[in-house]
Amino acid sequence: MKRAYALLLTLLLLGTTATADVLIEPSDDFYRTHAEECEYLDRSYTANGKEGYVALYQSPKSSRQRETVGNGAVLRGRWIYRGTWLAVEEEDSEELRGWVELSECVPVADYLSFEEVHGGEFVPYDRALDTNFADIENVVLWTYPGSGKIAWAEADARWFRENVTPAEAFSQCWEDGEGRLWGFVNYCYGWRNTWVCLSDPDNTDLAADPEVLPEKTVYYPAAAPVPAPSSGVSGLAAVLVVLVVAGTAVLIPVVCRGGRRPGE
Amino acid sequence: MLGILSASLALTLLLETTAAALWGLRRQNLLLGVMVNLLTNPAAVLLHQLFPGWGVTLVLEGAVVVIEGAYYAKYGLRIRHPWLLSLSANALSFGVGVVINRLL
Repeated sequence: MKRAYALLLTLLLLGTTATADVLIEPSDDFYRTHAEECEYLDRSYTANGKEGYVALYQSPKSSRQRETVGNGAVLRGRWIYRGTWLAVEEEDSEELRGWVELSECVPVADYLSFEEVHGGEFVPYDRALDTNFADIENVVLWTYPGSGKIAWAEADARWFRENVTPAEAFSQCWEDGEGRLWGFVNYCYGWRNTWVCLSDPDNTDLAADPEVLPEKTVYYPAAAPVPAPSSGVSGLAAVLVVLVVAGTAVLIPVVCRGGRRPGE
Repeated sequence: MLGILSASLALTLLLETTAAALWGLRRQNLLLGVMVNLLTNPAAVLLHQLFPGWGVTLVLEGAVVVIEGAYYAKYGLRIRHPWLLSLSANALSFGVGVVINRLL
């Protein structure tokens, strides 16, 4: 019971909420009222606005900018509103930085980018590869085949011998240009959506292959300097509001003179 | 911003003037209803834009109810329960606003 309270308190202190399936949700007014329209997708994006920067807004329906970020910066987010707006989180916490238009961002190459390009080439797991996991200590988890980016270099190989069989662990496989087989791992010791080189599972020195995911995106140069965030309120709007309010405040006593007098 | 201000004011005037008419307000009192909304709505929307958040929204809505109630009480021609009118009309427009915001 004490543990449950401690967990609840920690989550409250972090300013986040957790659902029953342990998905961290942002503590944000807009998210709270539109949670049903938000889809979970843990992915990173690169800022790539046409003006050289992107704005992180108070909400998808607000013109108030919380922050502006120069092109090239990596934005992390987990929740997407109606497929068009990303809730950007802080790098080291789940604190919300703001909402950015997805059309102004480019996904950082990951397992989804890989699947989009090579999904048609996936093959089932070959049990003959089981022996590759028999005598090793660690398995290297990669972000995707040929990325050259290691997600975790020291996944205990016993996971693939004792927790699950390799055939269960690797839901789909892919063969690279050098004849190496790779297997997709949905989950391993908390890591999700990674790839293992089945032909050489403990090798940390597999070089990146840019041909696997050729770069086609047009990147706009970063603005220098990046403009300060806008409050979303133009000077004209503010002046008009002041004029309307002041004008009405003066008019009411003139137009409505027949109101109640003290003592009536 | 001007679009948000105009849309918000138009919707508020439509809803609150209708509510005021149903409350029994006519002629000068109905005109007063329009003017108190001109007095409070653009300022409230502007401040909400500058300082978003539920806490600020509640404070702003509370202030709007008090200001409009005070104007109805002071300048209205024998309006029945002016404070209750202000509270009801603003609760209606706030509620409709929340629903529309969720649908958009």
